[in-house]
Amino acid sequence: MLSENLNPACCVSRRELFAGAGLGLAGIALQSLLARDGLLAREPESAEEADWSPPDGRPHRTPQAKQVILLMMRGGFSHLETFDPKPELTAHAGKTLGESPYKGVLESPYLKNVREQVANNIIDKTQARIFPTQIGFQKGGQSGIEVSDWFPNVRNCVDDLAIIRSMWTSDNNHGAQMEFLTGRHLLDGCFPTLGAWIRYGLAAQSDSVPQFVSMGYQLDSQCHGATDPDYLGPENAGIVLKVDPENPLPYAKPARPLSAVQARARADLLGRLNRLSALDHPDDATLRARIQSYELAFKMQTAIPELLKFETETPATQKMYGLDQDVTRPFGQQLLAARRMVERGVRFVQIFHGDGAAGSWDAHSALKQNHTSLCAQVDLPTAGLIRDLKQRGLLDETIVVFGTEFGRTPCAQGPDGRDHHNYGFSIWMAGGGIRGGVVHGATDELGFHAVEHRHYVTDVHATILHQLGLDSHRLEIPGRKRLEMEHGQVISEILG
Amino acid sequence: MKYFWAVVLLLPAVAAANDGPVERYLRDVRPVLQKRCFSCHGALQQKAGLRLDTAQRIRTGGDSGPAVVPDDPAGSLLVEKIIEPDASLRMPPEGEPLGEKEIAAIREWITSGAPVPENEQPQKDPRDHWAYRVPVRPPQPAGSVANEKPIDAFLDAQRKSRGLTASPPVSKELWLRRVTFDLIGLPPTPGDLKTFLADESETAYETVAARLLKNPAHGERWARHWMDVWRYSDWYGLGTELRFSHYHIWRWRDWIVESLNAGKGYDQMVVAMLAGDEVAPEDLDTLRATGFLVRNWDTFSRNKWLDTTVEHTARAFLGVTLQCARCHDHKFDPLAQTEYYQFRAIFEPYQFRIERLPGQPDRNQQGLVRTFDEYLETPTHLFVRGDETTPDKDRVLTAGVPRTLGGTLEIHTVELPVAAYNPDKRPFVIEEAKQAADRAVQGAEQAVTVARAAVGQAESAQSAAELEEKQAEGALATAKLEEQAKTREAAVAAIDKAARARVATLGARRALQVALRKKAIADASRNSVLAVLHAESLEDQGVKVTRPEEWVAAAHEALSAQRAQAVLEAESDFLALSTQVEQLTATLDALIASVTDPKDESLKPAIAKTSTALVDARVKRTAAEKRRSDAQGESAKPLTTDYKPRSLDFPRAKVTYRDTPSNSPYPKISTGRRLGLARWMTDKSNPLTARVAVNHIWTRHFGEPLVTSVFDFGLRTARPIHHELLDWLAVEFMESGWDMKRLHTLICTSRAYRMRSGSTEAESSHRALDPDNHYYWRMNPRRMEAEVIRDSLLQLSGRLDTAMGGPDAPTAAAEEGFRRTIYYRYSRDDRMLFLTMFDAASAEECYRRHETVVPQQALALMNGKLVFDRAADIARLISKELGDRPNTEFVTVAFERLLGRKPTAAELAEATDGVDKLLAVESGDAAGGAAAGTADGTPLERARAAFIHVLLNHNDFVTIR
Repeated sequence: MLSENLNPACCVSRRELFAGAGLGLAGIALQSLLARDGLLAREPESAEEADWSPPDGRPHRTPQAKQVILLMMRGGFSHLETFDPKPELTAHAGKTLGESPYKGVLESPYLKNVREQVANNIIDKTQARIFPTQIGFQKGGQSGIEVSDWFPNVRNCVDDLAIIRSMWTSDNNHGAQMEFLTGRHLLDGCFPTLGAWIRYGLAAQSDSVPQFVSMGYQLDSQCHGATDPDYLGPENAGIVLKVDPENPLPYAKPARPLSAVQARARADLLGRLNRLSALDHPDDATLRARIQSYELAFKMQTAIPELLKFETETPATQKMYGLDQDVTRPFGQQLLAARRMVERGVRFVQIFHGDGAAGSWDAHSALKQNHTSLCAQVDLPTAGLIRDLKQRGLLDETIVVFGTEFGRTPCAQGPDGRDHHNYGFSIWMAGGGIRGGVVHGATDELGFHAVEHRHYVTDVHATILHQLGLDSHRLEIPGRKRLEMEHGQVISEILG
Repeated sequence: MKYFWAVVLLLPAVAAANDGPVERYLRDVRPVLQKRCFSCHGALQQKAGLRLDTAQRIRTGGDSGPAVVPDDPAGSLLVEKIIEPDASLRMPPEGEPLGEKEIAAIREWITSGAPVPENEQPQKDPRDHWAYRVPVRPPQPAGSVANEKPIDAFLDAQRKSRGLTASPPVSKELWLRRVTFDLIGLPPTPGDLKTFLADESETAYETVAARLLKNPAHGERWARHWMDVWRYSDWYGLGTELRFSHYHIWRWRDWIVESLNAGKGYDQMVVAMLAGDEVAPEDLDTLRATGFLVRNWDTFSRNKWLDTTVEHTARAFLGVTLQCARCHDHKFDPLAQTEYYQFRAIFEPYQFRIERLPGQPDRNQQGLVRTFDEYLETPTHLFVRGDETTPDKDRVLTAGVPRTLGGTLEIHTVELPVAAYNPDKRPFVIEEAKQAADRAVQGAEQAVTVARAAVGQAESAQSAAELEEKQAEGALATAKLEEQAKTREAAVAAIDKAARARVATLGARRALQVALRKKAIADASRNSVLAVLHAESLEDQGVKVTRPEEWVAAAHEALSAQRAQAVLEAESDFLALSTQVEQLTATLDALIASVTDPKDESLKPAIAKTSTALVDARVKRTAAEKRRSDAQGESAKPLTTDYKPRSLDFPRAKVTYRDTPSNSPYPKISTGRRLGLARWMTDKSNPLTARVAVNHIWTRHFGEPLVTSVFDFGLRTARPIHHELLDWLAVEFMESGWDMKRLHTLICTSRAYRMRSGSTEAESSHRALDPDNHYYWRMNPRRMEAEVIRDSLLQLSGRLDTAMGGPDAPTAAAEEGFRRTIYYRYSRDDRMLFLTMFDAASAEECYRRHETVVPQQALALMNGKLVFDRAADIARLISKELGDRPNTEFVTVAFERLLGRKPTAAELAEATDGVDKLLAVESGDAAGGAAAGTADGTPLERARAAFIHVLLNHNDFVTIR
């Protein structure tokens, strides 16, 4: 029974959406409402604050991209068996680092970049022995970039990818999953995630679908999960969806018969009454969020099930995402849903792959079996997503990120595993103005340290925001000063 | 250096330009000592009397003299220890030996004379951490207003320091709504409001608080809060297979509700939950509390079960993240890995079992699930790196509590009373055994009566038939020729009937014999039960020693009764088998006699079958005869005291997935470890327990905690802004006997609790100064918890079923059900969908609820059946009260009832207009055509229901302002 949006235009800011939504009395009082709006009403405490104004929903510069699909492999995939070939591992397999020609890695100043939260619980770098690469690599595409045989389909798309082989992160436990999304490790507290920042900074592209969607295995045990807006306010939280058109989200239909007219009448009245209440509570961000949530909820009732109607896709498209195979179907459905979402104006879609508390990519043992099975689940659908976006002309405006919280150690853990490794690892990005067929940055001969063009995880954020036309410094809120490292630096070398 | 913040955090010393020996000590030596040595030779511990946290102290040394001899590395004890080849003597004792470079740096520092840096600060003593110091009641801040309540005095002082002032009081209506939701989780009734508004006395607020705290709904409301913290979960598993928690765990929930309503002290509740079986081993009511420990049962892993117990006991009651010390020493807090396992040793012996309850011997149907100590001898070892497959078997760790927290764990073995280790000795079990024996006798008597009556009937039927038979024979003798055929026919029938009647009489007599024998056995059995119970009770009373003759006589009687019973049973068996043999013999004879033609083989199978049965029966009869003669033989022997005791039941729960529970007797003692822990926790010198509890309670009144990390009061948690208030509340709490109702009263009647939640124009500067309201210059608006929304809908619609307690109701019944939400099943895998929309507690862990605003909540309130139906109820109720009054009045009452306040003039106009528009829609007058709804009632009734539906979705319904 929720109302249709009372505000027909698309592409307006959060504030405009709210303001424009006011009808009748509330509409008349709009100006006073905005004037009394908490953040606007404050006396500036400093010159910096005097210059500050809340985001108006418009990008700070001409955007190169409109939306983002972030794929997050939970648990930490091995860069050494995916996107960063290291023949020296096989050449010196069985030696300790000290016995190899590369004992210098243990002297590196980069070792001090990280916190080893679990000092007694990681393999001893001086004693562990180099573990050979567990899979072959081959060149792909025109660019001839080497990708492992566990990613044959992604390899075929390599000319569209910018592979960054020089990532590092500060902590070596799985709290780094949130760190990848916020720039700060769990131990530092809770912070807004990337999706929430984008939701905060940019106006909605559509008023019928949520702007920030999360699918797959959520990070429930980390702060409030991977959809956390923290101090940006609850209206910027992500919405968790299941890939089930019958039941994508609960209570999608009225439990008692209700005509469209009845529903609209009720929702209209509710909107008017809530806005009247907002006049009395100008500083109540939760109330604003609730008004918005009702408007969005109405649209979602029809829009969300429609998003998940894969039968409207051609068999060829379905096959591209691996919907015809049991192994690839779960991830493939999420990716196809993601494409349909960005098509319809969802701004930021994040998809987590790998269940369990730590994430199933966490191959402390039996890495070969682990990655053989997990890569098979994601390779085909991921390549399908890239190809599909491309054939629809969406890749130009959609950034795809294939990431993970950290890499895995060059040395063995136990007989056949690799431990957490945050000194150097790989991710890739594609689309949205990012150049394809590019390898950027490098680790040393063993894949131990990122040594060329080192990038902390927030450099990915900076690059994404840059392409979306946002400057994270200008989004910053007075009194919520962020560390410089949280902003990151744009990886300009991979931009077209 | 952009990304080198981590270095700055971790490494205190950075290379200085001036690279002298002092600088090198600070850069290369001290950090090594800090990392590897301070934990035993620093502020917390000084093993061998030695501290290594300053150069001066290194030079001074410990019990064995100076640790270094300046200029002489080879002669320095420190160097000797770190290069010791024998690993068992080498320092540090754990982990890798120091590296070559590290050793070289230490040597070099000594060679250069072991110089001491100026003003070198020793390691800060972690025990000085604010939360590890025993709370002391702070004096009320100077300059506070006369008669100011301490809560307000402390808050005022803090506000003043930031140039903030308290927001003015909220309206009486909204205060009543706030406090009523807070204390009973339901909205105030119109009567409550009327009474409160009429009460203009000084004590009006106190009166309300006192009234609400007496309402049984208070226990239900706050039980749910504590169930979050204490991880309440009904059973769950795979389908119907029980894997976690337990069927009967709801009794723990009821205990929490009852305890809160009874005003039981928080300390007593902690003691009961951790050690109810040790402090009150015979009290079935208190035993329910130990469900706290039962809940952690994990059918797959005893290790995980205990880990969970350690983790959540420490976090819930102490705010200690002890789980971080499972694999290694705690990274931030002074908690050694050994201390984790010492804490685990407290729980190592515990197990749970299902206690039988009066009236139901089947424990699966009804029982009390409770904790007891079973594994008294199981040692606790440290698991190297937390891995249960690598226990350090060289050391057995004794039960202990973290040293940093002070106090001592005093453990006294608990000698259990007989009923505690032998539940079959509980009076009600004995009573039920007697009752069962009596019932058996009564049943047997009834059977005899019935059998006697049957014999009587059969005998009269036989007499009648025999009379008929005689008459028929007489008639035949005198019949005329033409009647002979007919008369003969009648005579044959009469003969046949008489023959059957004789057989029936024989059968009835036999049945009577059987019934009589059963009656005799039931009598004998009751005699044995009574005699055995008598002998057992004498033995339990110690009469065996004090008055041996009396006991011997009782034992003789018991044996004699058992022998008599045995003889009767054997006799009965023998007779029954004899009858069977006779019958089979007769059947066989008849079969054989009926074969006239030797070639006829049609009866052969029947004959063979009967013969076989006869053989079997004969063999059994012979055995029964033997038993009878044995029993008779036993009976003839002189009496002894060796009667057969009752067969007792000691059922266990399965410890792990696949094992077969044993039935060996329960231990006669309990280790007392858990009681020791509970006493240590609730001792007034424990620095954490009261602070943590008070913080939890405060959080649920103000929406924000005093200490943000409600489950971690460790070193990472800075001294809170309102530290003095926290300590004052903690001390007050303990000194009041840990009285939670008193604490609720203090908080709810404070000025702070009365503040408005919104800021006024005048307070816009406050928003700038303290946007997050850390200084409590206003009240925090809160959203109702999931349970409160549902319960309120039921209350407002007049549907709430106030029945308390009982087994968890199925969630499937919840949407149509009217009981309070707390009574529906709540587990990891099974809880009401409606609740999950509104940030319901995770059944695994929820120390604090979130308050999100997401469209799914809008969908639940707009589309859910519950809201539709209850809205119609509420509209009907209000309309009934108002009679023919106009919609303006309906709207006003609806606002008061649902939002706790009157509508503003603008709202009244908008809402009244809104009802008119809804009416137009329901009447089919609206543009766009008629309504498709099929709801009952007139268009006006439907429009009003629709209006209530809208108001239930209003932000101010779910918001507590």
